[in-house]
Amino acid sequence: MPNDTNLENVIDLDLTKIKAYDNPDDLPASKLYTASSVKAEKPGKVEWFRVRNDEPPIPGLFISLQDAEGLEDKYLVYGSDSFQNHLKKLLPGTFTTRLLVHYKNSIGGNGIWPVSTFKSEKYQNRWTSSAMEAITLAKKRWTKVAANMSAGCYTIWDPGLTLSGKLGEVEFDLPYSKAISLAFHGKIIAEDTYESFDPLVRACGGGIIETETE
Amino acid sequence: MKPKLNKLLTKLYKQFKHIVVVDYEFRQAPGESPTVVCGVYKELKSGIVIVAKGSSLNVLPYSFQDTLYVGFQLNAEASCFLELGFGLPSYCWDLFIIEKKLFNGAIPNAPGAYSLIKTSERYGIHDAMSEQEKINNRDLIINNTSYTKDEMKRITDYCTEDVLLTEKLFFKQSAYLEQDDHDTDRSIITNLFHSKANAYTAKVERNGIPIDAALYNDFQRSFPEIAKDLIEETNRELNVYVEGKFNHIKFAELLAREKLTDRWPKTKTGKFKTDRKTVYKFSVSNTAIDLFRLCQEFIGCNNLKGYQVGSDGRSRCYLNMFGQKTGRTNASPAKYPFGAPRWARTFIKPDPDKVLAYIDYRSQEPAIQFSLSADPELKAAYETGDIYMYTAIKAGAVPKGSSKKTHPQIREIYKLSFLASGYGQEAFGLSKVLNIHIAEAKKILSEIRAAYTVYYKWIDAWKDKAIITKRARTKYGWQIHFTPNEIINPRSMLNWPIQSHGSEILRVAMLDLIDKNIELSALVHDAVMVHIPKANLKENILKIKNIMLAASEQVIGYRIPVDVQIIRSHFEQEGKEKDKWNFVMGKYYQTKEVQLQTAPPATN
Repeated sequence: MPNDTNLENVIDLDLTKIKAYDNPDDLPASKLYTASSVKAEKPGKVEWFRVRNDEPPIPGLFISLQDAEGLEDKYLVYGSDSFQNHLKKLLPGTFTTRLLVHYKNSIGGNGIWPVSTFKSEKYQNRWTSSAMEAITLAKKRWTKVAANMSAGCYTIWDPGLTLSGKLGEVEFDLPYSKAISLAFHGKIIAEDTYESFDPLVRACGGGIIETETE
Repeated sequence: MKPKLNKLLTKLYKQFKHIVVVDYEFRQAPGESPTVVCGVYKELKSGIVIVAKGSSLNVLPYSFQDTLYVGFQLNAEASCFLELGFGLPSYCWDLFIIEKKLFNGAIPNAPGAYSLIKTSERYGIHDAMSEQEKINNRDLIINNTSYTKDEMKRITDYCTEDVLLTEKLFFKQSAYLEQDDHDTDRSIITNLFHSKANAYTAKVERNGIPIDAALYNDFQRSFPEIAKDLIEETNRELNVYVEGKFNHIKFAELLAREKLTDRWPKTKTGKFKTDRKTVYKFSVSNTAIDLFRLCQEFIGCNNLKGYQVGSDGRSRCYLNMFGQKTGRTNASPAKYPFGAPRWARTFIKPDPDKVLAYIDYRSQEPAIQFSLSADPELKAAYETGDIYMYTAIKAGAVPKGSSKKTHPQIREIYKLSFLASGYGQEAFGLSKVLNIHIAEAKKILSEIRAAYTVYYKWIDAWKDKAIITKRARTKYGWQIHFTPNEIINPRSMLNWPIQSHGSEILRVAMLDLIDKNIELSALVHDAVMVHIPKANLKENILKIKNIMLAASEQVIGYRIPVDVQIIRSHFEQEGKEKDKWNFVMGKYYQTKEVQLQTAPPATN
């Protein structure tokens, strides 16, 4: 440990001379994720997958709306409570809540699995409970799920020791929230994208809003 | 056993003659300065522990010039240094502020989340005393004015234990700091800066805000009668109180009369919201709601909020530097005049031989916006003196040569839209604020973006970086971690770099003002209030202005002009706020008249 005789001004304590933190230009090269990089569905029956364990999954509010061809699709509603309430009043149909589970498969593909939630044990069914079991398992080890229609639940697969070793460890380099925004790209009804949704406008009983463009 | 020093600690050990962990125990009545009970210093190079109590408290064992003072929430220790007549330390290392800096946004800012014990636990230090033991010891200190020998022993032991815990935390936290920023010198310099800023606020708090104490105290004594009269009178117009109590049904009727039912937000239970923020938002443009807002300050209250007055007639409270995510101060509105209703600031009054000067940066936010982004067009707009009218002209909404006088409504629309755009508000929200069609709001926002392309390109890049790295930092390293919520909806983070750099400017200005012996009374968002002698007023004001200009130049590279308001008597407000003050004081004088008429005749 240095004593007083070694004392020296090792640092110029001048705040004006430091290299400033954060400059948008000094962002290092990084892997670019686009909307097509992230699936918005449950893992396929042949996909070994892991679920991220560093952030708990958040619930998302969904509404089914018809697109221009009359086909129904699910939209994620994002915004303040008052905005959500505003839409609930405005739109017909049922709003549902899904847990947004971020997973990554063995070849590096990301996905968000919107899992049904149940309000209490009373409303639990075998699909939701087996999905939750698989998710809990996938936080620790590689897992695969396949729908078993006759049993009314998911069958959960374990890769065994040898395959586990081959699959290796998983790293979630895509932030959870970014994964959500990419997975539901074009299907998030937020305050700023609200008016651009044709189905929504139709549901409100109006035509497409004419806006001036540059 | 001496700990192994990492790179950061090695540098600190070489830089300073002494590194001293300090903690004081004190009691402090609201609005007063602290009474110091004891202090413990541990010098880390030698391991010497000094326990000071009684007369030994009057000796500072290690000089401020060459010692790094380490503590947890050094604002409190600085207030004790000042009370003991030592002045303020030159070098501070505040583990509380550094912890906030490291985890701002990542840890929910719940009460106690950054306490010494909780912070220690985050670093795996679990041998601290329990929160309950701490409360018991604090109660012993606060609830007594003298202590037995055994009680004093218990207090000094408690203080020593806190010093030893702080020492452990100092070493553990420094390891984390090294990981957070590999540029060790920069990490040290910026942490010294932020720690010192927190310590120096003790000086502002100690100075306090001078007020008309005689009027204020008498007003408080008459408050219940004033409140009763005021509510009775205003209720004749508003009709929202039934037998002196607020009534939700009547309030809904008021909103219907004012045609606000569709726009007014509701609670989860379906009632109309009546919180401060909501009421304030609508009070700006509606007289009845503004009157209701005034009543809210009186209904159900026993006294006027916004002041905490000491025996010397100064209002004092904890300023809570870094209390907001942006690093801005966050004093309690119930105790701080600048968090309270504007009209009530009229109680503020300088001493007879002094004046108060309220000095604020002119349109600080757009100045920071163009400085950080280097947008020449936004700078040009700012330098015309009316950025909103400039924007309206540029958008073609008004002809060239228009002014606030010729087109006040259009200017207001572009002002609200410009500000809304800075906060990331989009067409849906803006259409609600301006009560216009969503398509029109969208058009205005796109015009603003087209007018200042450099700025919006910069802020978009900043946002992208924040999304990828999940955090952002100011030039001096105050940082925030963004939650998933903010990343999914990045609009809410757009204003952070602007506000947080504003807070850095105020800190630089504050340190310089205090070092130059200016009596700084208050820190107010982008302004300061100073209490200065009437003699040499011009020279003093010039000196202060220069300090503030230099502070903004240091942080953002631009000297943001400042406006000075000299307050020679009461801090009078303008417009509606002045009317409110007159209305309230009218009630006060009526009450005084009734008291005089009903008082028993004076006897010899």
